[in-house]
Amino acid sequence: MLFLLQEAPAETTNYMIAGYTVIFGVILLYLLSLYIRQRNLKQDLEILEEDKQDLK
Amino acid sequence: MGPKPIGLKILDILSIVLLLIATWMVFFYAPTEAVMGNVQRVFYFHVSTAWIGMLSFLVAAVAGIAYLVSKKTSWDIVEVSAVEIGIVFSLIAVASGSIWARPIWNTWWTWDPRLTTVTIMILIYAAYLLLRAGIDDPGRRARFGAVYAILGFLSVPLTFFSARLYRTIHPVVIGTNQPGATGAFDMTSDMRMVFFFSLFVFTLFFADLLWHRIRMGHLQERVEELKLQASEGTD
Repeated sequence: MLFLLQEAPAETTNYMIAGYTVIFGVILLYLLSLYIRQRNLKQDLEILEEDKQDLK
Repeated sequence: MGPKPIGLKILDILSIVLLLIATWMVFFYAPTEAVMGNVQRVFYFHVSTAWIGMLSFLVAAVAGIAYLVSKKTSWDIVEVSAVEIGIVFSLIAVASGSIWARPIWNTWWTWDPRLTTVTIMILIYAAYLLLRAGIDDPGRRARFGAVYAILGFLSVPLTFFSARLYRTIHPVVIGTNQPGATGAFDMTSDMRMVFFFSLFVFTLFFADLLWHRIRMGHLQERVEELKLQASEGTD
């Protein structure tokens, strides 16, 4: 709480960088997970539809 | 699943461009807060992600009601999509808040009312996903999910108002801070503009993500249908 006694802003740039790394990192990971899951589902769908055609 | 609709393509581009602009504004347009310094810039996306978390759970509850009324599986897909996005954004809000707290509160974490209620909220929705995954029958799973999403939503206003009703170290943006709140600051007009712009951009980004996740949900439904047909055909 020493920052309350000082006149200049506290030097907290590293925490800001860490905060935004987490924010963008997690968003990118989620986007990647969406992309991978969607790609896998499309592959599954293609295989299943091929099997369905073969059965006919 | 058909080709990507033009509306979704526009929303994708708009979300990326506006997110870049919001990021630029956070780092280069918003003034440095006089006491906390640069870490206060976490505020803009911390509150925006927390807002998206709560908005997602509201959407899930509304979709739950819509499912119980209509019995349409598309509402079940909206509901589970919203919950998934809500958990991701709530976790981002908690993690970024913890990093902001370290230099300001002198601790990464404290069990104060806001932090405790947000943890309970995330755990409630994480349990929703785990319990859903354990139910094979799609109809039963959707009914269970709808009721759970509606009841689970009770944790959202509790989390929102916890920093206003109880003695807490966590400051609030709208309303009066508790006497012990640490890290509060007066927003200048530039800060306010960046804050509201970030909220708007994240809301748009949420719509974009939800649309993508719903499309994936429909794809998943189709795959499950075909798997079921295939297993019935071999029996």
